[in-house]
Amino acid sequence: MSTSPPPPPPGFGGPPPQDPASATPRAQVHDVRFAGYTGERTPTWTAPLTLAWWSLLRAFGRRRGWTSKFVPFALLGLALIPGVGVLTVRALLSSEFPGQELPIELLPYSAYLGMIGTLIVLWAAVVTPELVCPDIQARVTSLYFATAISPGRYVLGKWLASMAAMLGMTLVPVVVLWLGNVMFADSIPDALADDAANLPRIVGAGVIVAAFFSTLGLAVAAVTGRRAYAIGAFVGLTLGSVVLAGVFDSTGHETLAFALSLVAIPTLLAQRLFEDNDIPVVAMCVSYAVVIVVSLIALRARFRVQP
Amino acid sequence: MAPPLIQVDDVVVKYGNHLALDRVSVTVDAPATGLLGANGAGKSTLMKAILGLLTPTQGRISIMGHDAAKAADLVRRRVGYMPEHDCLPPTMTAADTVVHLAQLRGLPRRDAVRRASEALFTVGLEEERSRLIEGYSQGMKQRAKLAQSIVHGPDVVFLDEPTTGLDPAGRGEMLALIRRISHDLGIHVIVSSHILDDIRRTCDGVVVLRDGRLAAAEALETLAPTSAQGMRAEVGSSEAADRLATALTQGGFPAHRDGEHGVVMPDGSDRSLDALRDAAAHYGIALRKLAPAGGTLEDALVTAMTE
Repeated sequence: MSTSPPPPPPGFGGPPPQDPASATPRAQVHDVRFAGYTGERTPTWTAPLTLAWWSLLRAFGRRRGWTSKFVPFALLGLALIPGVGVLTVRALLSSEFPGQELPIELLPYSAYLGMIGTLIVLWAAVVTPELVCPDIQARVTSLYFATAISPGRYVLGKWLASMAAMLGMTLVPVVVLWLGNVMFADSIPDALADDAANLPRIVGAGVIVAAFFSTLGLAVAAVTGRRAYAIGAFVGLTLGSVVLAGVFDSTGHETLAFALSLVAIPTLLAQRLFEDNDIPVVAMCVSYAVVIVVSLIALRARFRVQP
Repeated sequence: MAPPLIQVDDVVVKYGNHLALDRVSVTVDAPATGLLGANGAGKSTLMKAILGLLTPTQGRISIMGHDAAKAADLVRRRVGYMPEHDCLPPTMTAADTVVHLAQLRGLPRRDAVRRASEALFTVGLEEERSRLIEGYSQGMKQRAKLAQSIVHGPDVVFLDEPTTGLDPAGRGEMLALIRRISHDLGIHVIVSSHILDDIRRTCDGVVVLRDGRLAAAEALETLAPTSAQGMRAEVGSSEAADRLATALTQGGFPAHRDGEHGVVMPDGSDRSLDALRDAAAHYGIALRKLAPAGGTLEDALVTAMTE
């Protein structure tokens, strides 16, 4: 094995010495200690979006054990079962009887939200407290309001998070059904053309139901910092309203019964987008608006700077 | 001329019939200012009013020239706040919490992540940043709160009882951190505390409140009696005090009686103190107390807080 001798040093036959000023530095010293921030800042209107995003991450158990994630994802899975089941049946029948239309619509879009109504209520009961109760219990709101976000923007951010979570439940299952119906059709372009009109209705129905339960759920949850109490209060309120509506219905006050049932109000109004149903639309729209407005007022009053 | 850091003009805050702040006017401009007062003196109320967490009944507060009530959004992004109580979401990690709050205060995500890492390193939490806050000790929570308060590079940071719940070593480290923030990082610090030593070790100025009124607002060195007033020795009897004062004066070290058992040496130099020691030893006089004449800083602050 041979090794080449080291090159002679500068001045002894080696390369001429470099001028230190012109030499490319091989290393540079940076002061990496914590210092003031002089970079750009995002506009203040982005704060509710940031809050909504982080709130959703927390609500769905980011960096927490599987038990924190299980309930919401299990509910979503259950809500998908009717749609996926119908699509499975349709796929099987299509392979048995190729080229033939099914004689009946197995699961109309108008009925889907009503079918998973209980799951929607449970979803709202479980998810909305996760968005505000930890902030109240851990007193994070004082920190937010002092140095990060105004109370009004806080409510907006939480409402956006709640709305996004609720849309997950009211939109995803029905959209999956719609997509499946299109995909499993004999002619996808024809199915798209036939079913395209239903897509805005599906979105509209999802928004109607999501806005109702997300706002009501937040308002109920904001009363307490304890999630268990908030869940109980929401379920109790909705079930109580159904029982009350049943009492009025049995005594012949049908309009009042429709207008009082917190489950029926958004579900039947959403159904109305697909087909005419025999409901007192005006009374139910008034009820819907009253619930939303009162909930928003309650939320705004709950989170505010002390006068 | 730059506006003062904080200008409080004739501020009144009422809780029902209780007058929490009574026509307080003060200007804060020191790098580090202590907010002192007994329980119920109005410290927290003043801090909340400055932070915009409550609206004064009367008067005006400006921060860096901005009206705290009218420009609340702007002010929020330029101040940091470390509440006394636990205020961090227990189900988030320190890293996520600090990133989240930095984003809420307007830092783009990339900058928020980088600065959160730097802030947590600065407060000594770099190894624990990925743990959920619910598993933190009290000292670690205090550090995480401090990190979130400085992550966005505020102009001024409010620290409410920052050493609460810390052991002696942790307290020393926290005070050193606070000193570093105000003197090395150039962030103005307002420290609310009832521990005089914390204020003495970290602050340049002090605002003292008593029963909702301003009792004093001065630089610490102005408020603190200095050794220019000499030293005061206290002995066991008036005869011993007479003998000591006479011996010192005859030895060329001027001294005079002060009170029943006290001897004051206007020259508080080491030579004088050596002579005092030698005279006390020579005559067998026990020295019970040796302190700056005119009282300590603590005496002056306690006087301001209580009289």
